[in-house]
Amino acid sequence: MTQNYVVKETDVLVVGGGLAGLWAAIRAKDMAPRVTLAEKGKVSRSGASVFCHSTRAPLPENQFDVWLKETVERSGYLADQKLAEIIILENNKRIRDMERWGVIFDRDEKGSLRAECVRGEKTVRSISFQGKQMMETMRNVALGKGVEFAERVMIIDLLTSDGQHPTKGHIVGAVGLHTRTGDVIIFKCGAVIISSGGTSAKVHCHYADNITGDGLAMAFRAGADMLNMEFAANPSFGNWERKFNTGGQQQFLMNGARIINRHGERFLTKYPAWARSEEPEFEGNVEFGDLCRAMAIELLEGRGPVYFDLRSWSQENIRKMRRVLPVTMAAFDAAGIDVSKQPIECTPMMVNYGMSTSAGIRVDVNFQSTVPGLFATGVCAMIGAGQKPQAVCNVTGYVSGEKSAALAGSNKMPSQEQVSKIAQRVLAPLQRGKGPLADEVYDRLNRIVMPYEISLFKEETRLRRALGTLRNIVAEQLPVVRARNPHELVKANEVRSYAQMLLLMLSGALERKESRFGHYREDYPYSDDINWLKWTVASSDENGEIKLETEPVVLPLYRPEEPSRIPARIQFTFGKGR
Amino acid sequence: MTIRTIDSSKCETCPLRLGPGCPVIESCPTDVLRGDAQGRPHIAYHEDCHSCLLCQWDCPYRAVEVSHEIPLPPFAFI
Repeated sequence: MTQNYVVKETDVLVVGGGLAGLWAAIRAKDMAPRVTLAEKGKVSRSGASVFCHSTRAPLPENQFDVWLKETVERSGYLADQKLAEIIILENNKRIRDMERWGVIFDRDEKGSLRAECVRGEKTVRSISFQGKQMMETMRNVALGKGVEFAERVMIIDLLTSDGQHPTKGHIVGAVGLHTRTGDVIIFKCGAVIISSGGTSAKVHCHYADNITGDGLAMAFRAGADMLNMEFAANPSFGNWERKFNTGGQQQFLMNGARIINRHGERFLTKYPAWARSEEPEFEGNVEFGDLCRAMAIELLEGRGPVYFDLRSWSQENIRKMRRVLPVTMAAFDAAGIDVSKQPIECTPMMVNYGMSTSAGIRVDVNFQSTVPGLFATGVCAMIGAGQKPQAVCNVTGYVSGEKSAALAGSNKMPSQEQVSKIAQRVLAPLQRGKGPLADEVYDRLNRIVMPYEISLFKEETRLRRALGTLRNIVAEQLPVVRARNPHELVKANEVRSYAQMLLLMLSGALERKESRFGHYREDYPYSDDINWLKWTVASSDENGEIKLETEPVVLPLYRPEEPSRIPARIQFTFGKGR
Repeated sequence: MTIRTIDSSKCETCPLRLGPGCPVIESCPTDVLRGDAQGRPHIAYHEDCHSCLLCQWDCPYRAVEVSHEIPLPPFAFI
């Protein structure tokens, strides 16, 4: 059967050409003769890092314990502490490599890296760069080392030594689809590194419509354990004036933006837990989940819209925003909004897009998953919250690249039957004359999971109902999705990944009977350090259904001094206030 | 909304179009653009534009205009 398809042989196949994938490919190529980087778009113009501007600063001397402690605390003690340690220790060398290759990091007048605390950081520091410049530099390094790029190729499923999903064997390759020609491409390799980022709902937010959870979904299907998937989706509030969506909320908050409701009230101070906090007059350190819920409550109780208020700002502060947030400020200009004169409407929304490192594929210290030969990097790997995703990309990419290269030359023939089965399923939407298009299925899925009563405010009965509807769509509509051309065929395969991710996210949310970060259960409105310092572990059974277990987190170095139930700062029972 | 216009008159003298290929077509993460027989970009899948502005940045002749305004799903809000 494989003779019908293009077959490419390589040693290490990296899936996804963002920062983590580039690091993985660059390092793998130092050790293995043949490394292929498959990317659905163009390497350096894909992934999240091209739009980012901040990474973890190099670790100063004598700060290791302090940084690790803060990082573990900020993960809600759910981090894999060993992995957190590796990220902190190894990032210095990677920043040095990047500078040597030409990545420009922001430096002060004396020439030192400008390291600052951002977003709730107390001792750890972050440094700035320009995402596009960084990604172009890394692309050139990869090409210079001889990494082979397979651009406009979407990797859809993994091939396994026993021909099974989930596998009891190891990874022997992957099935890809050329996004323009619709050709199926079979990759034979010794190892696959999943570097394809999180999952987006494809609702034009965060410039993430191309990041569709394909890598996570294929790893799950192939048998990899997934950890804490209830944290994979995060709420956001970057919807300005209900017209456009750009970054910059955190910059505004750190520089003293106020958040007010229709009556001009700074409504966060109404919450006792918040008013008692260290800095009740400063919104910069509010956890995003809390903030989005508080905003949503104002809307639900009729005190909306909610605004960012910069009217008391100095012109100097506004000039600073023009410098650090040129895109956002240009968007305001184009919409005729003068931020010094009028508040800016801001709407919370669950984007089902996780850039966080708090959920993902379970990995060991080599960033290898529970499936031999399958590695995970960047936000695909579960490291724990409190990390800078870009630092995680640097280190997980580098280490997995190095370790995966050891499997070079161990290529085994993929089973003809598995190749044929997967390829037929990938291409099937093109043969269907009727059935929904992928966009319609995306819309139906989002109508289930995006409303506030499922996304921001979770509760058992509603979650069960949503999961039931979701399963119906998966059973009835996914098998009949049609596509009229290769472009739609890509989306038909993406929506399958998205549905899988939603099943994992909602199943995890139902299982985790406590509230933490963006995951808020109104029936369990507290962080429960007594019973829930646990990971939820999802894996696939032989029918592809989700098996869920929980497992206590190993706490080798740091643990809460007196574990307790900590009430959520912002509590709400949906429907009660309407 | 989203990608608005491509002023193809600016493509006429573009050496990239005739050489390595139009960088604007290749930069799009969601693959919205395609080239015509002369290699000039056109908007083929408008509905998939997520307004990231990469195409606008990647055109050295400023032929592309992108709007920040995007249609957001009303059911996701109150």
